[in-house]
Amino acid sequence: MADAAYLTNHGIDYIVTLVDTTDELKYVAWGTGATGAAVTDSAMETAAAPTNETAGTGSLAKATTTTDDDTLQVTHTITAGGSLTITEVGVFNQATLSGAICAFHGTFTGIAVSSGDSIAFTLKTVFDQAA
Amino acid sequence: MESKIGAHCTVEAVVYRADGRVESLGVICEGQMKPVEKKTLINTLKGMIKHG
Repeated sequence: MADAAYLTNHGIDYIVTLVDTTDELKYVAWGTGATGAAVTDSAMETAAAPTNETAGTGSLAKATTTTDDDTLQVTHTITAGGSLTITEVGVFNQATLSGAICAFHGTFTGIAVSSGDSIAFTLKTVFDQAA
Repeated sequence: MESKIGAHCTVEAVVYRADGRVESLGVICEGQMKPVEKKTLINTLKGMIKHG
């Protein structure tokens, strides 16, 4: 028998369910920063209105990508009040960005929006055994 | 032997213009979290919940 130790698919399901049950990592902010996201990030680079101080309340759910309940998914739509070029999005554990934990940070090629335009974001984290 | 866990993150976007146009951009960014030990991840999540 080969030596082996894995977090099982059920173990991943358990962790995803644990986070989903807390229903905390669902607050979404967008921004206009110019620096690429890094695993050491602790905040948005430049959070932008209407989420410059307070993130919007999104929806957190677990989903299935490869194995049952291996995915955390946050969805939220933000509407611009003026002209912006959106380049970053983040997920936090509370609406008030000051002191919040930045759990997810993504950066991308700018999306130009004008007053009344909205972006519907779907942020997914798919866990696996990291072979 | 430590059991490790990794994560693949993606962001998908759909833009709804004020004039009614809809632009489905698909995946606009993605990244792979480096594998971490299971206990490290669990402790991190517990800390986030405790201090959230």
